[in-house]
Amino acid sequence: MLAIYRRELQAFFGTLVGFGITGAFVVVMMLLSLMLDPLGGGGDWFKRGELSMRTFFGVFPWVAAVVLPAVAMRLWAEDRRQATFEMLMTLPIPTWKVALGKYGAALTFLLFMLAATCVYPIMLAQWGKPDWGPVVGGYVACFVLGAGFIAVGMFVSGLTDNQALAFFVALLMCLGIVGVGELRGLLGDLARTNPDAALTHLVTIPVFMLGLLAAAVGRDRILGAAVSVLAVVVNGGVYLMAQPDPKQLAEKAKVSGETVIAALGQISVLEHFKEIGRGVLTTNSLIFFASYVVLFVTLNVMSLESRRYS
Amino acid sequence: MIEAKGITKFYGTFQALNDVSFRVERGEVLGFLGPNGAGKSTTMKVLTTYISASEGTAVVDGFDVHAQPQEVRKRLGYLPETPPLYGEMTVEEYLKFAGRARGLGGAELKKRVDKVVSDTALTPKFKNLVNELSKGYRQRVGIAQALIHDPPALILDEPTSGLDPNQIIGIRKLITDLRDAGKALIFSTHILQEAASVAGRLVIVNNGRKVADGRPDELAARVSDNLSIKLMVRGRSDMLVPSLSDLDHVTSVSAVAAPEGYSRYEVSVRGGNKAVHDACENIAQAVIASGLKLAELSPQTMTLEDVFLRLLNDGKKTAAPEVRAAAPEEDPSLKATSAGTRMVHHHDEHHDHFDDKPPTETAISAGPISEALPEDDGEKP
Repeated sequence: MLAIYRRELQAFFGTLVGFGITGAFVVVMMLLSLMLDPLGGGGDWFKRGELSMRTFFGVFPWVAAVVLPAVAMRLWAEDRRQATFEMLMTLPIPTWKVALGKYGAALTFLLFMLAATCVYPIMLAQWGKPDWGPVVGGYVACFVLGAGFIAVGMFVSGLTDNQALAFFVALLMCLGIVGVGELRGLLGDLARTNPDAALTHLVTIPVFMLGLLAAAVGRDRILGAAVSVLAVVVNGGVYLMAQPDPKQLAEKAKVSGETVIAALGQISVLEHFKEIGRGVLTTNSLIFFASYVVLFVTLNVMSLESRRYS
Repeated sequence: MIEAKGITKFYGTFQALNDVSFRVERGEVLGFLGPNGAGKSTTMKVLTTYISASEGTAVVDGFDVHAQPQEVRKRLGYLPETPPLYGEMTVEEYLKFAGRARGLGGAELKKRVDKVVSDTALTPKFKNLVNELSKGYRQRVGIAQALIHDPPALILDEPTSGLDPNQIIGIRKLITDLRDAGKALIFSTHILQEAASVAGRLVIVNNGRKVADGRPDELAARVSDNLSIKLMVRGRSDMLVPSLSDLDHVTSVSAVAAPEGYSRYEVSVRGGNKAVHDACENIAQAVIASGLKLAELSPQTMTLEDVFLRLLNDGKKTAAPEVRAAAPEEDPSLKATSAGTRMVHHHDEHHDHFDDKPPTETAISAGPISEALPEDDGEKP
């Protein structure tokens, strides 16, 4: 496992690509966190005259959803394209250990990328007296969120030998993971007028996404596409057909709305990200991110092992 | 050491392998031979645990590839069809990685790296990036990686493909050295001379089936019917044909067109290359006894290509009798070639030789080689 880890690290740092990605990441993060104000509070960094890293951590999930798929895309796809995949799969090392070696190297690279943004906290220390709790908490949150994204990226990378495809699919999935929590507002509104449809959406949207994934990189593309289409049909059908009884609407809407909000709240990455960022390291949040990692690394190993039987 | 037991492999509904069995002992080299797409690589992938067989299994050093893949992998060195290289590493870094991944470390790792580098003659490129290497060197790095843990069994998928003749000779020498060191080797190739030159035993596969398994000379003996001897004598004698027909091994004698003042015959012989040589002696004696002058006597012994094509066609016949019509010796275009004049034919032969350089590059495919078949095709009685 250590041999794989060392080799993958070398792949990150042995070429200019790793430094290029890190450089781009730092520049984008600095620009966005200085220019933007996604949290509201009056203009950009200069106008606010406020020293904090709130904006930095606010934009990180979105930037990471774009950058980290690029980090993870080559993990397996590059081997799949060459015969090195055959070598890795016939080494006397179980596949899960090979996967963990690669994953560990990518996490180390993520740490390096985060460390490269240290100029921001240094700036804080230079010009102010920052409260270090949220800064440290924010970095921890960035790391665990990034670890989840890299797990997603590595899983997708194992499905294809095309790095560009791996990148775009992982990008969509990561954006979806960040975005799904933001559906709360939309689905919550929908629950008020069409509670049945809101509940159906909760199921059909993930099914639609999975079908799309299968159609893009799976073995049975037609099945994947069919599942996606079916999800859309069911979704649209329920939306159009459902005519809630006005008498029961209020009660139904309440139940539906609560369910939707509770369910999406549970899977909302941003909620957990913010929670850790506030310096609140709850087991709930840690288990949330750990389960992302475990789920996708396991899926990764399973998908690779299943290739032996194809 | 390595034993395949009835391996069958389906890719979806496509059957890539059908009940392939063979075994290789220590100190033995098995040449795995077949046209492109015959199932050579698939067999090797099953043996190396890269893929799992649909039916049947394989055993390496007593360990089953399905039940104990880790144990099998420890004992195998594997060179896939494309060498598994990381271009951004130097040869040294790459081989150290391969060694560490195999559980080597410290002084042991250094010793093994030095050994395989000198065995594969990689010393001058030791500090170069893999990406900078020529194809021959890349192939050698791939072989070095398969040898790094000193495995008792080696599986090399087309180890000499794309190499120049010097490099091929180097790899062949390496293979025989490894054999002499007591390793069990399987290597695949679609080049016949190559298999025959280093392998003590050949397994020939076609369309996913094993069509032959044995020593090269055994295989040649198995298919050596209908060999022929060309004979040209000065003068004419009605007694010659009957006296030749009575000789041992001779099945038929037919007169063919000859220059003025000469007679030319084609003598068909059954019983292998040895029978051809025996018959030659007897024919020479018979010609001289009949008072004619012997102008030409050339035995058309069977080449490995002929053996190979026969075996493939036999395999096809058992697998699917209806494809018999497509057998090379019955190809009408070939008849046209060999029915040409003597002059033209000589030209053809010359041309074939030119194309064949280096001789080891003669690929096995029904097309080009069947043109080099002995001319028993168009002139059969």
